[in-house]
Amino acid sequence: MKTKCKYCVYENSHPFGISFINDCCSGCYTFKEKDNLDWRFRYSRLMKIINSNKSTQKYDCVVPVIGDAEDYFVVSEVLKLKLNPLLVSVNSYFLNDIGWKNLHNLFTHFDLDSIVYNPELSTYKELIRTSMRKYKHIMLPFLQLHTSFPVHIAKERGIKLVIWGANQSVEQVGKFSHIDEVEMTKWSRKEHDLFNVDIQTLIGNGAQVNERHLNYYRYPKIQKLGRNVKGIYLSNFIRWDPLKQNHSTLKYGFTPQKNNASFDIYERAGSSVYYEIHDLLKYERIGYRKLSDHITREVRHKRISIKEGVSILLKRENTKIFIKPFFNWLETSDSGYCWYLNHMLIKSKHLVSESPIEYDFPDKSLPKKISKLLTSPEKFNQSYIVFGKGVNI
Amino acid sequence: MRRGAIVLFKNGYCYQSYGWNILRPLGKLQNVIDHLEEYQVDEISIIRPIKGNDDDKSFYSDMLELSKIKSSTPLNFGGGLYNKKRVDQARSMSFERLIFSSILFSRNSKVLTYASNIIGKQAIVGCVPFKFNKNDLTIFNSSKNKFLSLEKLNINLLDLCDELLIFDCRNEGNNNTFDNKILNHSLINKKKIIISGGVNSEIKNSNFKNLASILIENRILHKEYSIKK
Repeated sequence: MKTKCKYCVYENSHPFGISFINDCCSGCYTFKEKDNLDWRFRYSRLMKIINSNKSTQKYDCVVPVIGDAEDYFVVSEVLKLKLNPLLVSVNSYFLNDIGWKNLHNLFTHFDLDSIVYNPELSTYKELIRTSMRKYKHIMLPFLQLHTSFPVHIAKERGIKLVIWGANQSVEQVGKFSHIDEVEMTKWSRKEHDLFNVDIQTLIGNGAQVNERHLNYYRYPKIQKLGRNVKGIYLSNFIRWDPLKQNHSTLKYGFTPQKNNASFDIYERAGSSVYYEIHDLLKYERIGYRKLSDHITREVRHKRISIKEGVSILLKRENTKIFIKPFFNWLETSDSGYCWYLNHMLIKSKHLVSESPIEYDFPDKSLPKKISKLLTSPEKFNQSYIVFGKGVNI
Repeated sequence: MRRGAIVLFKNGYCYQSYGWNILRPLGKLQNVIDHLEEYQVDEISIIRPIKGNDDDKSFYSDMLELSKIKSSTPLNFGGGLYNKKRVDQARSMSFERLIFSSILFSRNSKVLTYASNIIGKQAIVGCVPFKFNKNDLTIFNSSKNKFLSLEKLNINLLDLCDELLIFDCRNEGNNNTFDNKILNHSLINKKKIIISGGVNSEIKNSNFKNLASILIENRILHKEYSIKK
């Protein structure tokens, strides 16, 4: 049975799981904490954790990055805490020219050491094919790496802290209270980041991959990890407001990108897939698109009313997506593309465009409180750049 | 002393409860069990949080889900064991112990005696969710969804239980705030005690008498490797 929240646009179909307290979803319920918490005290809790996990190594912490606006914000906060971070990134092979520019600008603007891991490409593509076939999801292989590789690096180099930005399970569906100070765990990774599909489940018996390429797709064993590596989320200690924070990263040289699926020009700017095929498959799997997450977030931050939010959703619900470039990148034959369209896109086929789309979002219908936090976004020139260091293969 | 976890499970999904009042989502039961096993907990108690709202459809559908769970850690089960038929259903599954709560308010001992006869007294745990109203001890009756005075509890039925799970409702979900006052109460003097509700893994046996086990709630999955041996 469908249950709707009275205060946002979420229903009980949220993939993280959601509960209802009377007619209020757990996400809205937990969001109200933000107005009542003493954030100065929360910040002092963060300082305490940082001080008790100070490293004797060169680096104080690992910060996992993808070149997103949130990464700029997290890095700037980490530097305010006088920490020396090692930035760790996994190449998703999905970045466009804006994405690569943002990633390299992040390293150079803050002048920090970084590691970029390029997973073996044929294995990665095979995992994506398997993931699309079994789960209608293209990001699972990347998410496996993005959530485990930084932890491997921390463990191998004796770095005690991994610092993440938002805990999405708190921010979106209020799974925990901020004061629980939930840390990153193997359980949480599987439950929230991987939607209960770890690499072993993903490959099952259908993927043609060599398991020796999968080491970094696996989270380190808890017994080996011990209590030496702690993964914390800044959103438990700082009043988290993504749009406002991301807007503030423009001063560091972050480039926002225009997309057609949401007014948020910051989140995942530089990705060739996030507001394209990934958004389409999200609709296919769970029945709503990324725009609903952004509307809910802005309703909670009181920058848009629920009525205005629903009106935008209705207006944008049939926005089409050109997904062919992704299938070209995946080296899928034309017949393979048609097969996927006809057999796998059951609910979302009507959203597929056969030609490139002219972007017309964000438009003037947005409330002023949102539009004043936006700026002129750029359009990408080239998508799916496998290596963004002047080499394009 | 055993160190275990308590997991709330209803309608096929796990929840976290805070202060006996707010239910937050947790996740899929198998994923929870898998990770509690990796944390090397000694036992996992799976409780259906009923609070006056239960029917056969929900009970048997949850039992079907529970029958699919793979675990090598001892599992205890409670929540809805009101009659012999449901006890039979629970007995047919691989639970180490059965947990009875609202039946302890019953005037007769039929169901508990039956359970004790078919699975043995060692597998019977009585659950007493409590809170203090000023200094008065009140016990939660889940079938009626309200706290009742201690006198309403059928004390004689406690003799049919091997262990007593004392659950601090007010401190549920909090960190290390279990109300020790209960442990001096005559109600639990002679029993092997399991405590839960505001308990974390740092509790020391020496602080409590007759302590058989502690069951940590939500908090156990909030940090990696939460069980400290």
